[in-house]
Amino acid sequence: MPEPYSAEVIELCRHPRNAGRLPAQDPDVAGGEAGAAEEGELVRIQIRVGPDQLVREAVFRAFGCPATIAAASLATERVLGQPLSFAAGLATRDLARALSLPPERVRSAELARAALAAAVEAFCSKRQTGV
Amino acid sequence: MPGFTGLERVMHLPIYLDNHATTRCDPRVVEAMLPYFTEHFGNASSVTHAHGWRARDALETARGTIAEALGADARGLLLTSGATEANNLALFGAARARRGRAAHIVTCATEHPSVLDSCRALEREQVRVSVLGVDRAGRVSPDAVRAAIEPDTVLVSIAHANGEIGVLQPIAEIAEITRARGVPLHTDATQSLGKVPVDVAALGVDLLSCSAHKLYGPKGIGALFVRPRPRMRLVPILYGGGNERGLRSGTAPVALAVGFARACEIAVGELEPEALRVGGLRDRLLERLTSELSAILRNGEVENALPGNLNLCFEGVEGEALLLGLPELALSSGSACSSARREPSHVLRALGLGPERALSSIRFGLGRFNTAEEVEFAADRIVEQVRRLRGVSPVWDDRRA
Repeated sequence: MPEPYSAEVIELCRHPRNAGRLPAQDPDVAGGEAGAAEEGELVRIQIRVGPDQLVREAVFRAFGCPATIAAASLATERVLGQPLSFAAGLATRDLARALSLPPERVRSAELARAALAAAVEAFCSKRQTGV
Repeated sequence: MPGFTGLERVMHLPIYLDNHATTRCDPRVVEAMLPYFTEHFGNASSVTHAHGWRARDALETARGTIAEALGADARGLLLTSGATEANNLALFGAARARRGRAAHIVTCATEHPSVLDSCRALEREQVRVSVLGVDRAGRVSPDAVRAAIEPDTVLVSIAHANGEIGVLQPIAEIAEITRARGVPLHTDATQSLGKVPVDVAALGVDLLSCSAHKLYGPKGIGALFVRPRPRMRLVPILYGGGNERGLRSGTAPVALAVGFARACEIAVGELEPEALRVGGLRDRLLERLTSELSAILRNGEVENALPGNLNLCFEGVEGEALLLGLPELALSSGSACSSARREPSHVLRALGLGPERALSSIRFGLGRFNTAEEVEFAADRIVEQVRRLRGVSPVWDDRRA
């Protein structure tokens, strides 16, 4: 098919996993964002982390091209049930490779990674200030 | 086509709503062309035998019919490979006719790339170019044209209708100004021919480009009307056998010319009822979408626009993502995500829209073969997908917060 998107992007854009919101006020929930609406791409990711430091829930909101929506969705799928350290270290290239993104769309994966990293950071500072 | 569930037997899926990009060749056009591929295959320049004579007859008859559709003198109608070539010939032809003397061209920011990129190339030949802005509706101000004309202006080039937002430019008003200043006026009527009345005399233009495939004719043929009296001087961009009065060498594609002529005949003959019908479909689509969805903004304006055009911004939803959710519809968005940079459309940007709104815009091009059932189906699907994508959109969250 001469479509500009890979099968993985098409599937995740049409049927995204983990689209949603978590109550931001919950002490074990934190969120991060990357991109800007004015630039045409904005990703928000929220995570809920258990006492065992495992990611219990991960949800996203995304505005942007299909690759951005797919990357945000995939990032949340990847970190579910994983240790916080795994979420902190999720690499852009892993998301990009899993979605077969062409070089010019790697930015979509980078946005998802950055939003996730920001969520992890927010969780850490929330926990610190909370303790 | 996998994934569709029998609907394609009732409707041709994906439903084609991209008639500004190209149109389906009308079966009546195909029928008219067929004999000219097989039986009457002669070269219109062969003067020594009946095959050539027949081709020449067909070519000149076609030229007459196409010219008639434009209200033009057939002697001024040059057949080209399409509107891109016609626009190139108009711009390069007029600028180079100055033979190295200082030259200046006036055009506008929403023109087709075949005009804007030709202008950029001419700047490398020391031609100065003034690119005029447009208002929020996409219209060029005739006063701005007046103010931009300089003593060495060789051409003003403003499209009749815009291919993205459908706006019709005040060409007749601009023509009064250019005529008074003795500057030739070129208009690209590719999107308007066959959709709204196009008459070179009423428009007052000296040069006019058009293309067959935008009016249900074949791809690969277009025309440039060049005012024959007093003859507007152009320098050719293609050299060879001296066809088309020396201005466009190359063997004439007789079958395509016959198809172009038949397409003009049909489009002009059916213009009024068809414009009403297509405009009605467009209005129905808009009514369905705006009554079922909030925060839809229209790019361009309702008045003075092509009947089949609708350019809408669905706030909070990115255009490419929306189109990916609509495989049953053939539409185009305000950007191309697959390109290296997501450049929002230069036309939408010229209206003053920010990237967010431009990237959230979709162009609808309704046409001859669209039905009321297709419009209802398209509206159902769009409403569903816009709601779905707004459901995951942080921009939509913020808007509602």
